[in-house]
Amino acid sequence: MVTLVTSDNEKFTADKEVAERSVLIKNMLEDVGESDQPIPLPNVSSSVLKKVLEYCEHHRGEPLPAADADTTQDDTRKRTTDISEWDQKFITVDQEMLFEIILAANYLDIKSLLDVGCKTVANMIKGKTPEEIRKLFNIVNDFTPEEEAQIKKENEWAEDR
Amino acid sequence: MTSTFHLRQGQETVSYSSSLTATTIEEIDSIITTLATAKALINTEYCRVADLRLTILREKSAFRRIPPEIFHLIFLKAAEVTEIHWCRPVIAISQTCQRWRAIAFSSPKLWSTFAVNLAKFHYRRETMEWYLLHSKDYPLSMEARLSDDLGDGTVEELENLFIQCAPRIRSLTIDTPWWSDTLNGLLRKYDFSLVKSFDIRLVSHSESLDWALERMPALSSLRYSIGLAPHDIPSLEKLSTRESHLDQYEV
Repeated sequence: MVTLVTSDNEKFTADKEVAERSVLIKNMLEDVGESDQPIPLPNVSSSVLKKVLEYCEHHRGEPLPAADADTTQDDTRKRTTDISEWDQKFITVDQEMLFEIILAANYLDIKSLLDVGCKTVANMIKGKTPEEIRKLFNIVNDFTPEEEAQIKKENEWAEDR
Repeated sequence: MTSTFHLRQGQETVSYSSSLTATTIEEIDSIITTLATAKALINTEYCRVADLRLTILREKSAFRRIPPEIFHLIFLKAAEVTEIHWCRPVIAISQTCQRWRAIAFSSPKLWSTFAVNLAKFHYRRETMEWYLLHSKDYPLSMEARLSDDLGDGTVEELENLFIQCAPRIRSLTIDTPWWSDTLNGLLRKYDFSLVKSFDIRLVSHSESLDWALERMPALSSLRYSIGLAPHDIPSLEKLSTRESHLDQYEV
């Protein structure tokens, strides 16, 4: 078993096999060798780690994606935003938690979880206008009048005809 | 119960001490006016504090902490081609805010995959040039659909486009129900020597296909319609000896 300590000082224990879905934790465990020392995760809060461990537990034993999987595949990008049913249910969380999971997956180096998070956000973006995207993510339109004029021109080109 | 307050915002000051000893309408009106001014000041301050709260929340939110490289990953997934239509997500992303625009424009890969209806090319030229500009030298992945006749002037515009981009295409999909002069010209005229993946959704054979396949030395993946019999296409037999990945599918 591995003990993980979150940013809010909560301790979690997990099977080594589950915790090692995180490349960061795997490397740390390899570095410290056989030890009972808890692993500090200062960038992950307890509520987020709980979700991350739930994901790792569900995907326990599955082959880990190659580190360079994205760069080795052909550049054609087709149907990459499909998400399995379980993953879809798992990632149905509020927006703040969704981005926290993405940040944690990036920090912990869990490629498949990062992928699920990114796909989810990508699916939220698809088919939306810039204004709808801003509203969805609470983004401020900070374009200068010159940039707005350029954008207007781009939209004239892209108009459906 | 009595209440006393003293409010000051800029030049405006409101002092109030509750006094229910007023007996005339004038005195009560005066109190109401004072309270209305105080209410407006408090309301302004309330909005300011609420805005500040939102700003702090926004600054601290996980969304704001997402690094550019993760946004880049998200944008690549959002911009995938799932059907033949103009790739609007990339444009929408680049028009959302300055930060997203900068990330989008610093990613040639994001602009390197597109689908275009060649029959409507006259209306798409400027957007297409926008994609080519921002994809810089990145290998292109193109889906070309040709279902209608080309409009006047489109042939010349298409020629200019293909002279520019054909040598950069690594993945080419051609979706058209029949062989046309345009398609024959397209396959015979331009340099597709770097194409690695070719997907042709046609049910009949033409010598132009052999011509094109002969001139795609880098080809490693070919998808072609089940309507095309391999033995009818001499170049396919050669390809099969080159360990290319050949795949037939139903149209």
